[in-house]
Amino acid sequence: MSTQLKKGTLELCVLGALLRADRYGYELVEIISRHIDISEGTIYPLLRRCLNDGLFDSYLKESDQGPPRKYYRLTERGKTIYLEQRQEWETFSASMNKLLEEVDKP
Amino acid sequence: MTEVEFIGELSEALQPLSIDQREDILADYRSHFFEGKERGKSEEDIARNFGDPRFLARTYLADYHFEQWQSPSEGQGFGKSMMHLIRGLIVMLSLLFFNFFFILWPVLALGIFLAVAWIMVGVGTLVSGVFVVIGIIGSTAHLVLPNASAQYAILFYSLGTGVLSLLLGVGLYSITRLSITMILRYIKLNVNLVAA
Repeated sequence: MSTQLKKGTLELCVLGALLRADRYGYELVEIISRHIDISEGTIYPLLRRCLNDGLFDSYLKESDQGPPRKYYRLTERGKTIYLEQRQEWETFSASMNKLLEEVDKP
Repeated sequence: MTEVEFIGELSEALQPLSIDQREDILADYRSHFFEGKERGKSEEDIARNFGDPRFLARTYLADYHFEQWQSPSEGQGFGKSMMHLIRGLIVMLSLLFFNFFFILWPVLALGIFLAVAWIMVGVGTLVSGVFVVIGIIGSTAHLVLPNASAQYAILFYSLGTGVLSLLLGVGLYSITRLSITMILRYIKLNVNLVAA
């Protein structure tokens, strides 16, 4: 997958991963890199940006081993934005698939 | 690179930020190192996946300056806001041309060399052209030069240097094209790097 495509969709991945559960940074990286190959350096600046934009907030939670973990929680605003972006993505990818099928058939 | 080295370089590159902001950012990386090591990864592997800490720092610095520009902190004057905008733009540019300063001097030297070479070829071609004309006119009309042998000598030499200049020009043209292609390729590489 090209780097440009990946960058644009990384925010969508993060928001989606936080929809059902609060998660900490390393967990988010693990979930996303299970499916797409990302540079881990891109994720933390993105998380910070989303925090500043009010898409999610964070809290510290004790862990069994080691220091407390910083969990991210989707805000209402974040949820709204996720659902919007998700809809946009569905529409776009459906059109894209249709287009490619149409043009590359012999 | 070990964890201590990575955190040290990142911290160093984040100097313009306040201590609180800096520590907040570093905490994310420290805990990532911790979780990674907990799962059996080596510090070197984790650091490698993060890429260059100086590069990483610049994404934070760009965000910081633009933020300060858009929503200035208490008592921040117009001049300071503009400074943040300018510094933000500079950081963005340096992100775009990461390593740019590394190649700046070689590129500059190459540019000067090519410019001087082009001027020499140009002057060479022009001067020999003029002497070819003088040679031709002189030998047919006996207007400029007194005797025939001098005229033929001038014609011969000026034709020689003229052809040589043109050949050099052709060579120089390929070198210039190659250089521009290489520089453009380098810029594209950097742009892709930033987009990643």
